[in-house]
Amino acid sequence: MTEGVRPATRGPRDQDLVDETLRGSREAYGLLVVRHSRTVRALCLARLGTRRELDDIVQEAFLRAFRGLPRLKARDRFAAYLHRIARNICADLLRRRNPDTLSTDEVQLESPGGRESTADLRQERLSLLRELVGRLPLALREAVLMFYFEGQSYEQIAALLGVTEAAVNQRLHRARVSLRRSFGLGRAVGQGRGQGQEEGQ
Amino acid sequence: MSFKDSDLRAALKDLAGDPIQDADRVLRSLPAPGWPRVTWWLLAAGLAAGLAAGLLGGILLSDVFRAGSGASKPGEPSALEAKKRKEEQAMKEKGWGSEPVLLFSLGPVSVTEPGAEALPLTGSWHVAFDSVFETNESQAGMLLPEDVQVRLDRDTVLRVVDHRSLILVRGQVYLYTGSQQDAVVAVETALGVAEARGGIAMVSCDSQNLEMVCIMGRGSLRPKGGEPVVLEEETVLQLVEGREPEKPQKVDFMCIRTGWMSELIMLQEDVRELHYRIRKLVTAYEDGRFRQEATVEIRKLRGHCVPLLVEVVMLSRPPNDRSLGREAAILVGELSERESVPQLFRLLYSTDPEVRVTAYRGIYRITGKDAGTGDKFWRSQSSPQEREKVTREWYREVVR
Repeated sequence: MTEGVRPATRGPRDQDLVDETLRGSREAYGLLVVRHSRTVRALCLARLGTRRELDDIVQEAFLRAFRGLPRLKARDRFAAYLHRIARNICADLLRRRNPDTLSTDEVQLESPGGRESTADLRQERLSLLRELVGRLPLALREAVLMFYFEGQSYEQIAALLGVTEAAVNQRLHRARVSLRRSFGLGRAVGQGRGQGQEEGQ
Repeated sequence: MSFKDSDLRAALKDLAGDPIQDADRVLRSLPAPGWPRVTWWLLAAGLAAGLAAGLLGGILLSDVFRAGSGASKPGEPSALEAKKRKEEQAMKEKGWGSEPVLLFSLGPVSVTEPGAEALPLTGSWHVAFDSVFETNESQAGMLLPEDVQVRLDRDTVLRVVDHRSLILVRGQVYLYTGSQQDAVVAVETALGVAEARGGIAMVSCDSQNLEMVCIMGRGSLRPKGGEPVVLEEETVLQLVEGREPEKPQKVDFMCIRTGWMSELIMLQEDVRELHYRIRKLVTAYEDGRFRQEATVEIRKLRGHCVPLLVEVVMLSRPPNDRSLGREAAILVGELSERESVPQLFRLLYSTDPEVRVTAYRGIYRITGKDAGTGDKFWRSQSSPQEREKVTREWYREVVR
């Protein structure tokens, strides 16, 4: 028996929910959405950054997945199938945004509410950290988002990204090193910039 | 200058969406499951087959003309048969095929095609014009050429002469006159003729009564040997045998009259009508004037109404709306099915303890999991922070 990419420890298996969906149960598909929407969001965030239409993209991914369900032969691979759809949607969007390149080098990971007031020191630190995560290379950014944002295990991330657990470990390590280095630099630059602005006022 | 892992988690936390809301959005936009999807394919296949048949017929006819002598010979079709073939050919040329009625029935419907015996049909079927449909215990829908749609209630006997002309022996039908502007569909009955023009109407009759409801567009009802009476939108006119027709009356709450179609509406692939109906019903429920009637109709739509009802609960403000909120919460709990569980979780955040208890019971009933709590916890023995914590853990337990 082959288990899905992200086996459910509790509740029905993805495969069973897919079968129920195909038999006409909308509730089963609702549970699939609830179960996987955060991962899809993390994947899209890694590629696009926080954008206002992120909700729409997540919705579109699940809608396309729903429409294609009758053609999904490996029903235990729903998560992988869904993630492929989400990646394709992101790629299409990036292509439309910039037809010449398919750049995912850097994204703007701004929170939905926009930038917080820099009056709060902690919020400023978090905002900078988010920005730096957005500047990581895609492979590292994906791993960081899966691990810190989605709370997935190494094993789950490895299965999702199609790499070994050791590779996930390495990516996270490299991401942390890169973030720590940039964080110190960014803080220094940010403070300097903040002072300059205040002076300018 | 450094940061901790917890900083990184906190930094990314703000980016999180709400899986419950994601599920709501996706479920709302899903096409309704079931047979209509198949039947649209069948319709497409039927049209393709019709076109192919027309093409083949054209080729054969051209062969006949090429070899044609022009004179009648023994064994050639009679005038009647020739006329029938001509009509069939005309229908084929229009792409309708020889069986232009596409029937969807929820249960066995007795169908009698011209010159054939009655057959009990269930599901989706292509049927010829001039057929008689008897629904008995079932309901049915029909797609006719030029987008004309007909729905048949239980215990209805209808003859479809063509897509603009129907004969209603008894029962109730719903008519949509199709995509052509000001198109007319006429329904002949024993007591008179009802005509729907450029819109939607319902016609019902028995041996002594005839009633027409004009939902959209205009309609007219002409008693046998009398003058037609015009119906405007959202009006109803009843004819009783042996009496003069009265003036059309305004229909206050149309959803009651169209309630018999709930099952058919839920099964449609196009969800616009369903969503429109849900909005109308929940608005009427909230408004209060037709709350009882709306409740009856909402129950027919089952879990479909839950998301909007949850909005009613969450937006109701005590003390004035408290009873409305609580009543709606009870209705939500009653109607909720497995797919409504995310909606019920939203109610756990209500400021009204009774609403929280109702939601708690609903989730427990559907999932069989109670988060180790009871009524008292949700009613009084907990702080918002404690409830928040339990809700999150329970939610993970239920949906993961």
